[in-house]
Amino acid sequence: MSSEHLREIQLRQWRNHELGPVQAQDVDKHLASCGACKEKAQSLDLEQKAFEARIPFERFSAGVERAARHPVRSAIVPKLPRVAMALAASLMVMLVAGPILKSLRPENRLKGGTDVVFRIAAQPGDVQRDASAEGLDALSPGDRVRVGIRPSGYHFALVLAVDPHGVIEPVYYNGKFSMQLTQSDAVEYLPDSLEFTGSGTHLLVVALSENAIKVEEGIEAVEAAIKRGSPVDGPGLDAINLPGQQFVHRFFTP
Amino acid sequence: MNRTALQVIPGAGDGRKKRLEELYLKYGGMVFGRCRFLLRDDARAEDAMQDVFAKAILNHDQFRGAASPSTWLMKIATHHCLNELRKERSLFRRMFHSTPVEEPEAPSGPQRIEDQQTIRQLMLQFDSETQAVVVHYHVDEMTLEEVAALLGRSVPTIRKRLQNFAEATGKELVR
Repeated sequence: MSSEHLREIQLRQWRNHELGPVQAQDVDKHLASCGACKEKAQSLDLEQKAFEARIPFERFSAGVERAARHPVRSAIVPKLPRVAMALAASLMVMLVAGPILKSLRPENRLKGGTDVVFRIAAQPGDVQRDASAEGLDALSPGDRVRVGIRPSGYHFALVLAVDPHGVIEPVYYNGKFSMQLTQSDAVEYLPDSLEFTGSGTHLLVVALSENAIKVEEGIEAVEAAIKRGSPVDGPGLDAINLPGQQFVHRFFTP
Repeated sequence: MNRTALQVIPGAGDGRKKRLEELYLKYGGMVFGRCRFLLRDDARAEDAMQDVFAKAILNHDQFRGAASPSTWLMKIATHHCLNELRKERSLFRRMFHSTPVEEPEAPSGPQRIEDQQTIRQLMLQFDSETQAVVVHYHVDEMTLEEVAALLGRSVPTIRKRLQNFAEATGKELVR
């Protein structure tokens, strides 16, 4: 479209009365003398009319209310207050999740004392349990998971969730990169807890590294590992091609 | 125009219904059109549109005055549908039967529809941020500055995304 014509977004804003008086007047003036833009403005009206004919207001309203009651959420949602979880964390028994496929990735050698631990509880104050050493846990509705890390030399962590459909979402990160870890000999728990939504097997991938990793690269690496893996009981996972060390745990939700 | 345009009164009653009706009459066709354009399936587009309005209502306090309600809703709709497409491409996405969509009632004529469909096809091979940039720039016809403000990125970043798209597809950067 030539720059002398009105842009589509301008016309939409004009149609929805979102322009200031001067801008709106400019649009009015332009439309009075430009057939192409006038036609385009009319097509926006037609778009709305076609929508109203296709989806009556009552159906729209019921659908939006339903969606608002059950909003689409990412695979996991932070739930518990930090303070409650910090207190709970002090009582936790640590469980070490095995690094995945280390025999396939000799370059991802274990650093001394590096641990990733998972704790499961339904509500603050409820009895907590360790995640299983086998790397798979069945969760009950409402169960939440907390991730703890003893970095031991790794400075960055990227936590990704993979839902039963293989959709990967970053969970713990800093902008476009993995998040920086506080160096400590103790296990430090990441803020908040995580609740999985949707039925099936979810994966939590914790990638530790010495330098920051781009979130997009992390997602691509996990995506590639899924493609190479065997999808038995949810997403299978091959070695993850990222620097550092990766830990994976599976959680089954009913 | 301020955020109250998107503020739907909590609870039930006539006030809430009236606000929903305003959203329906002002933005319904626009949001449904974006969902339909990206998802190419009427049923999925309707579901997506409902999710988009629900998100906008629940998060209306995140609406910033720098954007207009139209651009903000288009951003949510575009982001939501691109996520849906990503799930669709996912290896473990279960198969579902979809109803093919006829050509949408896109604004302003057959040539523009063809251009928009070409852009849609071309952009799918790019990362999600580039996809959003391409939709807002080439389909919504926002300026570089408007896209940058809407997506919270710098103008050079948006320009770079569009250049990458242009180099790979031959779609010219400058309108």
